Amino acid sequence: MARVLVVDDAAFMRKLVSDALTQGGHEVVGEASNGVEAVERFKELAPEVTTLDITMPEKDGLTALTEILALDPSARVIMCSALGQESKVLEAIKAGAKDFVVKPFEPQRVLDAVAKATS
Amino acid sequence: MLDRALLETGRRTAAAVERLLKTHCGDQAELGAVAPVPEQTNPFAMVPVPAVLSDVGYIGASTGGNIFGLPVAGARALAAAMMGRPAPEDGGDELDELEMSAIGEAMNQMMATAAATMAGLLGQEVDIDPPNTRVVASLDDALGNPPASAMVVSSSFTVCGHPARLVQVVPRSFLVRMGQALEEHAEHARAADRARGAADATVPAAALRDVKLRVWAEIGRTRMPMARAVGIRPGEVVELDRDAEDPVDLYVNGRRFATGTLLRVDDGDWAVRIESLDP
Repeated sequence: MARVLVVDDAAFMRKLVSDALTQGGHEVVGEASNGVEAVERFKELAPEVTTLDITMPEKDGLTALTEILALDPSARVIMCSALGQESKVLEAIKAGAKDFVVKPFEPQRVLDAVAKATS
Repeated sequence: MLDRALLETGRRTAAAVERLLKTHCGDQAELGAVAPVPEQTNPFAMVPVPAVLSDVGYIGASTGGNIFGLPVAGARALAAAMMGRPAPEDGGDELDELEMSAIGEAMNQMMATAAATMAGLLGQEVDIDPPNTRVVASLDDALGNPPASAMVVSSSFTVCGHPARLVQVVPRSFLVRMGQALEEHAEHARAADRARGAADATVPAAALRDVKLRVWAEIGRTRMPMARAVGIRPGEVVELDRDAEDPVDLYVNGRRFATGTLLRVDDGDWAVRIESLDP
Protein backbone atom coordinates (compact mmCIF):
# COMPACT_ATOMS: atom_id res chain seq x y z
CA MET A 1 0.00 0.00 0.00
CA ALA A 2 1.38 3.39 -0.98
CA ARG A 3 0.54 7.03 -0.19
CA VAL A 4 -0.18 8.59 -3.56
CA LEU A 5 -0.56 12.16 -4.89
CA VAL A 6 -2.78 12.30 -8.00
CA VAL A 7 -2.20 15.18 -10.46
CA ASP A 8 -4.41 15.86 -13.51
CA ASP A 9 -6.21 18.96 -14.75
CA ALA A 10 -9.38 16.94 -15.45
CA ALA A 11 -11.52 16.24 -12.36
CA PHE A 12 -12.78 13.10 -14.09
CA MET A 13 -9.28 11.68 -14.58
CA ARG A 14 -8.38 12.44 -10.95
CA LYS A 15 -11.48 10.52 -9.87
CA LEU A 16 -10.72 7.61 -12.21
CA VAL A 17 -7.11 7.29 -11.01
CA SER A 18 -8.06 7.83 -7.33
CA ASP A 19 -10.84 5.22 -7.51
CA ALA A 20 -8.47 2.69 -9.10
CA LEU A 21 -5.82 3.34 -6.43
CA THR A 22 -8.28 3.21 -3.52
CA GLN A 23 -9.79 -0.04 -4.78
CA GLY A 24 -6.26 -1.42 -5.10
CA GLY A 25 -5.66 -0.71 -1.39
CA HIS A 26 -3.61 2.47 -1.79
CA GLU A 27 -4.20 5.75 0.00
CA VAL A 28 -4.72 8.89 -2.08
CA VAL A 29 -3.23 11.57 0.18
CA GLY A 30 -3.92 14.50 -2.11
CA GLU A 31 -4.88 15.76 -5.55
CA ALA A 32 -3.66 18.66 -7.68
CA SER A 33 -4.98 20.10 -10.93
CA ASN A 34 -1.88 21.79 -12.37
CA GLY A 35 1.90 21.69 -12.14
CA VAL A 36 2.18 24.54 -9.65
CA GLU A 37 -0.21 22.85 -7.21
CA ALA A 38 1.52 19.52 -7.83
CA VAL A 39 4.89 20.81 -6.61
CA GLU A 40 3.24 22.53 -3.59
CA ARG A 41 1.32 19.37 -2.60
CA PHE A 42 4.43 17.25 -3.08
CA LYS A 43 6.38 19.44 -0.64
CA GLU A 44 3.53 19.43 1.85
CA LEU A 45 2.53 15.74 1.70
CA ALA A 46 5.76 13.90 0.79
CA PRO A 47 3.86 11.14 -1.05
CA GLU A 48 5.52 7.82 -1.84
CA VAL A 49 4.21 7.91 -5.42
CA THR A 50 2.98 10.79 -7.61
CA THR A 51 0.91 10.33 -10.80
CA LEU A 52 1.45 13.28 -13.12
CA ASP A 53 -0.51 14.29 -16.21
CA ILE A 54 1.68 15.73 -18.99
CA THR A 55 -0.60 18.36 -20.55
CA MET A 56 -1.80 20.80 -17.87
CA PRO A 57 -2.35 24.56 -17.58
CA GLU A 58 -0.11 26.85 -15.45
CA LYS A 59 2.81 24.45 -15.39
CA ASP A 60 2.98 21.25 -17.45
CA GLY A 61 3.83 17.80 -16.15
CA LEU A 62 7.39 17.75 -17.49
CA THR A 63 8.32 20.97 -15.68
CA ALA A 64 6.62 19.76 -12.49
CA LEU A 65 8.50 16.45 -12.78
CA THR A 66 11.86 18.26 -12.97
CA GLU A 67 11.01 20.41 -9.96
CA ILE A 68 9.77 17.44 -7.91
CA LEU A 69 12.95 15.50 -8.67
CA ALA A 70 15.03 18.54 -7.70
CA LEU A 71 13.26 18.53 -4.32
CA ASP A 72 13.66 14.78 -3.89
CA PRO A 73 15.84 12.88 -6.39
CA SER A 74 14.34 9.56 -5.20
CA ALA A 75 10.73 10.67 -5.86
CA ARG A 76 8.66 8.02 -7.65
CA VAL A 77 6.67 9.67 -10.39
CA ILE A 78 4.39 7.96 -12.94
CA MET A 79 3.48 10.01 -16.02
CA CYS A 80 -0.03 9.92 -17.54
CA SER A 81 -0.10 10.80 -21.23
CA ALA A 82 -2.43 10.79 -24.18
CA LEU A 83 -1.62 8.89 -27.34
CA GLY A 84 0.79 10.75 -29.62
CA GLN A 85 2.98 12.13 -26.85
CA GLU A 86 5.76 9.57 -27.30
CA SER A 87 8.53 12.17 -27.43
CA LYS A 88 7.34 13.85 -24.23
CA VAL A 89 7.05 10.46 -22.51
CA LEU A 90 10.61 9.57 -23.49
CA GLU A 91 11.79 12.96 -22.24
CA ALA A 92 10.06 12.30 -18.90
CA ILE A 93 11.60 8.85 -18.53
CA LYS A 94 15.00 10.34 -19.35
CA ALA A 95 14.41 13.03 -16.71
CA GLY A 96 13.71 10.36 -14.07
CA ALA A 97 10.03 9.33 -14.21
CA LYS A 98 9.64 5.69 -13.13
CA ASP A 99 6.89 4.63 -15.52
CA PHE A 100 4.04 5.93 -17.65
CA VAL A 101 0.47 5.02 -18.52
CA VAL A 102 -1.31 6.01 -21.73
CA LYS A 103 -4.92 7.22 -21.56
CA PRO A 104 -7.39 5.66 -21.82
CA PHE A 105 -6.17 2.95 -19.44
CA GLU A 106 -7.52 0.03 -17.47
CA PRO A 107 -7.48 0.54 -13.66
CA GLN A 108 -5.14 -2.44 -13.38
CA ARG A 109 -2.52 -0.66 -15.49
CA VAL A 110 -2.30 2.13 -12.87
CA LEU A 111 -1.95 -0.41 -10.07
CA ASP A 112 0.79 -2.26 -11.97
CA ALA A 113 2.69 0.99 -12.48
CA VAL A 114 2.45 1.84 -8.76
CA ALA A 115 3.57 -1.68 -7.82
CA LYS A 116 6.52 -1.39 -10.19
CA ALA A 117 7.47 2.08 -8.94
CA THR A 118 7.46 0.99 -5.31
CA SER A 119 9.12 -2.41 -5.74
CA MET B 1 -5.51 12.17 -56.23
CA LEU B 2 -6.32 14.72 -53.50
CA ASP B 3 -9.89 13.40 -53.23
CA ARG B 4 -8.60 9.90 -52.65
CA ALA B 5 -6.07 11.11 -50.05
CA LEU B 6 -8.80 13.12 -48.31
CA LEU B 7 -11.14 10.14 -48.08
CA GLU B 8 -8.34 7.84 -46.90
CA THR B 9 -7.32 10.36 -44.23
CA GLY B 10 -10.93 10.61 -43.09
CA ARG B 11 -11.47 6.84 -43.04
CA ARG B 12 -8.34 5.98 -41.11
CA THR B 13 -8.78 8.77 -38.58
CA ALA B 14 -12.44 7.88 -38.06
CA ALA B 15 -11.55 4.21 -37.55
CA ALA B 16 -9.01 5.16 -34.85
CA VAL B 17 -11.55 7.46 -33.16
CA GLU B 18 -14.15 4.66 -33.26
CA ARG B 19 -11.71 2.29 -31.53
CA LEU B 20 -11.08 4.91 -28.85
CA LEU B 21 -14.81 5.54 -28.31
CA LYS B 22 -15.37 1.79 -27.97
CA THR B 23 -12.90 1.69 -25.05
CA HIS B 24 -15.26 4.09 -23.26
CA CYS B 25 -18.71 2.86 -24.24
CA GLY B 26 -18.21 -0.48 -26.01
CA ASP B 27 -20.64 -1.34 -28.78
CA GLN B 28 -22.53 1.88 -28.22
CA ALA B 29 -20.05 3.66 -30.50
CA GLU B 30 -20.35 3.01 -34.19
CA LEU B 31 -18.78 4.61 -37.26
CA GLY B 32 -21.07 5.35 -40.20
CA ALA B 33 -20.30 6.99 -43.53
CA VAL B 34 -17.15 8.97 -44.30
CA ALA B 35 -17.61 11.55 -47.07
CA PRO B 36 -16.09 14.75 -48.41
CA VAL B 37 -17.96 17.92 -47.43
CA PRO B 38 -18.92 20.11 -50.41
CA GLU B 39 -18.46 23.87 -50.08
CA GLN B 40 -21.27 25.84 -48.46
CA THR B 41 -22.71 22.82 -46.62
CA ASN B 42 -22.90 22.30 -42.89
CA PRO B 43 -21.66 18.80 -41.96
CA PHE B 44 -23.19 19.23 -38.49
CA ALA B 45 -26.73 19.71 -39.80
CA MET B 46 -27.79 16.24 -38.53
CA VAL B 47 -26.52 16.77 -34.97
CA PRO B 48 -29.24 18.00 -32.57
CA VAL B 49 -28.48 20.98 -30.30
CA PRO B 50 -27.54 21.89 -27.65
CA ALA B 51 -24.35 20.05 -28.40
CA VAL B 52 -20.86 19.60 -27.05
CA LEU B 53 -18.37 20.94 -29.56
CA SER B 54 -14.64 20.33 -29.40
CA ASP B 55 -12.12 21.70 -31.83
CA VAL B 56 -8.38 21.67 -32.14
CA GLY B 57 -5.91 23.12 -34.62
CA TYR B 58 -2.70 21.53 -35.87
CA ILE B 59 0.27 23.51 -34.59
CA GLY B 60 2.28 24.88 -37.49
CA ALA B 61 -0.53 24.50 -40.01
CA SER B 62 -2.80 27.50 -39.64
CA THR B 63 -5.49 26.10 -41.92
CA GLY B 64 -6.10 22.65 -40.48
CA GLY B 65 -7.85 21.04 -37.56
CA ASN B 66 -10.41 18.57 -36.28
CA ILE B 67 -13.89 19.32 -34.94
CA PHE B 68 -16.17 16.89 -33.07
CA GLY B 69 -19.83 17.60 -32.34
CA LEU B 70 -22.11 15.46 -30.16
CA PRO B 71 -25.56 16.35 -28.73
CA VAL B 72 -25.59 17.07 -24.98
CA ALA B 73 -27.83 14.04 -24.38
CA GLY B 74 -25.25 11.81 -26.10
CA ALA B 75 -22.41 13.47 -24.19
CA ARG B 76 -24.16 12.77 -20.88
CA ALA B 77 -24.68 9.12 -21.85
CA LEU B 78 -21.02 8.83 -22.88
CA ALA B 79 -19.86 10.45 -19.62
CA ALA B 80 -22.03 8.00 -17.65
CA ALA B 81 -20.53 5.06 -19.56
CA MET B 82 -17.02 6.38 -18.82
CA MET B 83 -17.85 6.49 -15.11
CA GLY B 84 -19.46 3.05 -15.16
CA ARG B 85 -22.93 4.43 -14.43
CA PRO B 86 -26.23 3.84 -16.23
CA ALA B 87 -27.27 6.50 -18.77
CA PRO B 88 -29.07 9.46 -17.12
CA GLU B 89 -32.85 9.35 -17.57
CA ASP B 90 -33.75 12.89 -16.54
CA GLY B 91 -33.24 14.21 -20.09
CA GLY B 92 -31.58 17.37 -18.78
CA ASP B 93 -29.76 19.60 -21.24
CA GLU B 94 -26.91 20.50 -18.93
CA LEU B 95 -23.71 18.72 -18.03
CA ASP B 96 -22.59 18.79 -14.42
CA GLU B 97 -18.94 19.47 -13.58
CA LEU B 98 -17.85 15.84 -13.52
CA GLU B 99 -19.72 15.00 -16.76
CA MET B 100 -18.11 17.99 -18.48
CA SER B 101 -14.70 16.92 -17.21
CA ALA B 102 -15.23 13.36 -18.50
CA ILE B 103 -16.35 14.63 -21.91
CA GLY B 104 -13.41 17.05 -22.04
CA GLU B 105 -11.12 14.10 -21.37
CA ALA B 106 -12.82 11.93 -24.04
CA MET B 107 -12.45 14.79 -26.51
CA ASN B 108 -8.75 15.23 -25.58
CA GLN B 109 -8.13 11.54 -26.15
CA MET B 110 -10.12 11.56 -29.39
CA MET B 111 -8.25 14.53 -30.79
CA ALA B 112 -4.88 13.08 -29.71
CA THR B 113 -5.81 9.79 -31.43
CA ALA B 114 -6.83 11.66 -34.59
CA ALA B 115 -3.56 13.63 -34.62
CA ALA B 116 -1.52 10.47 -33.97
CA THR B 117 -3.25 8.73 -36.88
CA MET B 118 -2.47 11.62 -39.21
CA ALA B 119 1.12 11.64 -37.94
CA GLY B 120 1.37 7.92 -38.75
CA LEU B 121 0.08 8.51 -42.27
CA LEU B 122 2.42 11.42 -42.88
CA GLY B 123 5.45 9.92 -41.16
CA GLN B 124 5.96 13.03 -39.06
CA GLU B 125 4.65 14.36 -35.76
CA VAL B 126 1.43 16.35 -35.83
CA ASP B 127 1.37 18.57 -32.74
CA ILE B 128 -1.94 19.83 -31.40
CA ASP B 129 -2.98 22.36 -28.78
CA PRO B 130 -5.26 21.15 -25.96
CA PRO B 131 -8.74 21.00 -27.56
CA ASN B 132 -11.33 23.68 -26.81
CA THR B 133 -14.46 21.88 -25.55
CA ARG B 134 -17.73 23.70 -24.76
CA VAL B 135 -21.52 23.46 -24.97
CA VAL B 136 -23.07 25.37 -27.88
CA ALA B 137 -26.70 26.24 -28.67
CA SER B 138 -26.11 26.18 -32.44
CA LEU B 139 -23.80 24.27 -34.76
CA ASP B 140 -24.45 26.51 -37.77
CA ASP B 141 -21.03 28.13 -37.49
CA ALA B 142 -19.15 25.15 -36.06
CA LEU B 143 -17.14 24.66 -39.24
CA GLY B 144 -16.55 28.37 -39.88
CA ASN B 145 -15.23 29.23 -43.33
CA PRO B 146 -12.54 26.76 -44.31
CA PRO B 147 -9.92 28.44 -46.53
CA ALA B 148 -9.46 27.45 -50.17
CA SER B 149 -6.12 25.91 -49.16
CA ALA B 150 -7.93 23.15 -47.23
CA MET B 151 -10.39 20.32 -47.94
CA VAL B 152 -13.04 19.03 -45.56
CA VAL B 153 -14.09 15.45 -44.76
CA SER B 154 -16.86 14.37 -42.39
CA SER B 155 -17.36 11.07 -40.57
CA SER B 156 -20.69 10.21 -38.99
CA PHE B 157 -20.84 8.31 -35.71
CA THR B 158 -23.54 6.97 -33.46
CA VAL B 159 -22.54 7.44 -29.81
CA CYS B 160 -24.85 5.91 -27.18
CA GLY B 161 -27.72 6.14 -29.69
CA HIS B 162 -27.07 9.79 -30.65
CA PRO B 163 -25.74 11.09 -33.98
CA ALA B 164 -22.28 12.68 -33.82
CA ARG B 165 -19.83 14.04 -36.40
CA LEU B 166 -16.07 14.21 -36.72
CA VAL B 167 -15.09 16.88 -39.26
CA GLN B 168 -11.51 17.30 -40.42
CA VAL B 169 -10.21 20.39 -42.16
CA VAL B 170 -7.10 19.13 -43.93
CA PRO B 171 -4.59 21.46 -45.63
CA ARG B 172 -4.03 20.57 -49.30
CA SER B 173 -0.29 20.44 -48.60
CA PHE B 174 -0.96 17.55 -46.15
CA LEU B 175 -3.04 15.79 -48.78
CA VAL B 176 -0.35 16.11 -51.44
CA ARG B 177 2.14 14.46 -49.08
CA MET B 178 -0.48 11.92 -48.00
CA GLY B 179 -1.15 11.06 -51.66
CA GLN B 180 2.57 10.51 -52.21
CA ALA B 181 2.83 8.37 -49.07
CA LEU B 182 -0.14 6.23 -50.18
CA GLU B 183 1.42 5.84 -53.63
CA GLU B 184 4.73 4.78 -52.05
CA HIS B 185 2.97 2.25 -49.82
CA ALA B 186 1.21 0.82 -52.87
CA GLU B 187 4.50 0.65 -54.79
CA HIS B 188 6.19 -1.14 -51.86
CA ALA B 189 3.36 -3.63 -51.74
CA ARG B 190 3.68 -4.26 -55.49
CA ALA B 191 7.47 -4.65 -55.15
CA ALA B 192 6.99 -7.10 -52.29
CA ASP B 193 4.53 -9.07 -54.45
CA ARG B 194 7.01 -9.16 -57.31
CA ALA B 195 9.82 -10.24 -54.96
CA ARG B 196 7.59 -12.98 -53.58
CA GLY B 197 6.81 -14.10 -57.11
CA ALA B 198 10.51 -14.21 -57.98
CA ALA B 199 11.30 -16.09 -54.78
CA ASP B 200 8.58 -18.60 -55.55
CA ALA B 201 10.24 -19.30 -58.89
CA THR B 202 13.78 -19.82 -57.60
CA VAL B 203 13.75 -21.36 -54.11
CA PRO B 204 11.78 -24.08 -52.41
CA ALA B 205 9.88 -21.30 -50.66
CA ALA B 206 7.30 -23.50 -48.98
CA ALA B 207 10.00 -25.26 -47.01
CA LEU B 208 11.49 -21.98 -45.78
CA ARG B 209 8.41 -19.95 -45.17
CA ASP B 210 7.80 -21.24 -41.65
CA VAL B 211 11.39 -20.84 -40.46
CA LYS B 212 11.29 -18.61 -37.39
CA LEU B 213 13.68 -15.66 -37.22
CA ARG B 214 14.67 -13.49 -34.26
CA VAL B 215 13.74 -9.87 -34.83
CA TRP B 216 14.68 -7.11 -32.42
CA ALA B 217 14.87 -3.35 -32.26
CA GLU B 218 17.91 -1.57 -30.87
CA ILE B 219 17.50 1.89 -29.34
CA GLY B 220 21.17 2.61 -28.68
CA ARG B 221 24.56 1.39 -27.49
CA THR B 222 27.30 2.47 -25.15
CA ARG B 223 30.79 1.37 -24.25
CA MET B 224 32.22 1.25 -20.75
CA PRO B 225 35.24 -0.23 -19.00
CA MET B 226 34.73 -3.58 -17.30
CA ALA B 227 35.36 -1.94 -13.92
CA ARG B 228 32.37 0.34 -14.43
CA ALA B 229 30.16 -2.47 -15.82
CA VAL B 230 30.61 -4.69 -12.77
CA GLY B 231 29.89 -1.74 -10.48
CA ILE B 232 26.48 -0.90 -11.96
CA ARG B 233 23.71 -0.78 -9.35
CA PRO B 234 19.91 -0.77 -9.75
CA GLY B 235 18.61 2.75 -10.20
CA GLU B 236 21.67 3.98 -12.01
CA VAL B 237 21.10 5.59 -15.42
CA VAL B 238 23.26 4.49 -18.34
CA GLU B 239 23.32 6.99 -21.21
CA LEU B 240 23.15 5.52 -24.71
CA ASP B 241 24.65 6.96 -27.88
CA ARG B 242 21.37 8.21 -29.34
CA ASP B 243 18.79 10.88 -28.65
CA ALA B 244 15.24 9.86 -27.74
CA GLU B 245 14.13 11.29 -31.09
CA ASP B 246 16.61 9.29 -33.17
CA PRO B 247 15.44 6.34 -35.27
CA VAL B 248 15.91 2.83 -33.92
CA ASP B 249 17.54 -0.05 -35.78
CA LEU B 250 15.69 -3.23 -36.62
CA TYR B 251 17.70 -6.47 -36.77
CA VAL B 252 16.86 -9.90 -38.18
CA ASN B 253 19.09 -12.66 -36.81
CA GLY B 254 21.85 -10.17 -36.06
CA ARG B 255 21.79 -8.32 -39.35
CA ARG B 256 20.44 -4.77 -39.50
CA PHE B 257 17.81 -4.53 -42.19
CA ALA B 258 15.80 -1.40 -41.46
CA THR B 259 15.51 1.74 -39.37
CA GLY B 260 12.30 3.07 -37.91
CA THR B 261 10.57 5.22 -35.36
CA LEU B 262 9.64 3.90 -31.94
CA LEU B 263 5.96 4.40 -31.13
CA ARG B 264 3.27 3.09 -28.84
CA VAL B 265 0.24 1.39 -30.30
CA ASP B 266 -3.29 1.45 -28.93
CA ASP B 267 -2.91 -1.51 -26.57
CA GLY B 268 0.16 0.07 -24.94
CA ASP B 269 2.81 -2.10 -26.63
CA TRP B 270 5.90 -0.63 -28.22
CA ALA B 271 6.06 -0.82 -32.00
CA VAL B 272 8.42 0.33 -34.73
CA ARG B 273 7.28 2.18 -37.83
CA ILE B 274 9.72 1.32 -40.62
CA GLU B 275 11.24 4.45 -42.16
CA SER B 276 13.84 2.92 -44.48
CA LEU B 277 15.04 -0.52 -45.54
CA ASP B 278 18.76 -1.17 -45.78
CA PRO B 279 19.97 -2.01 -49.29
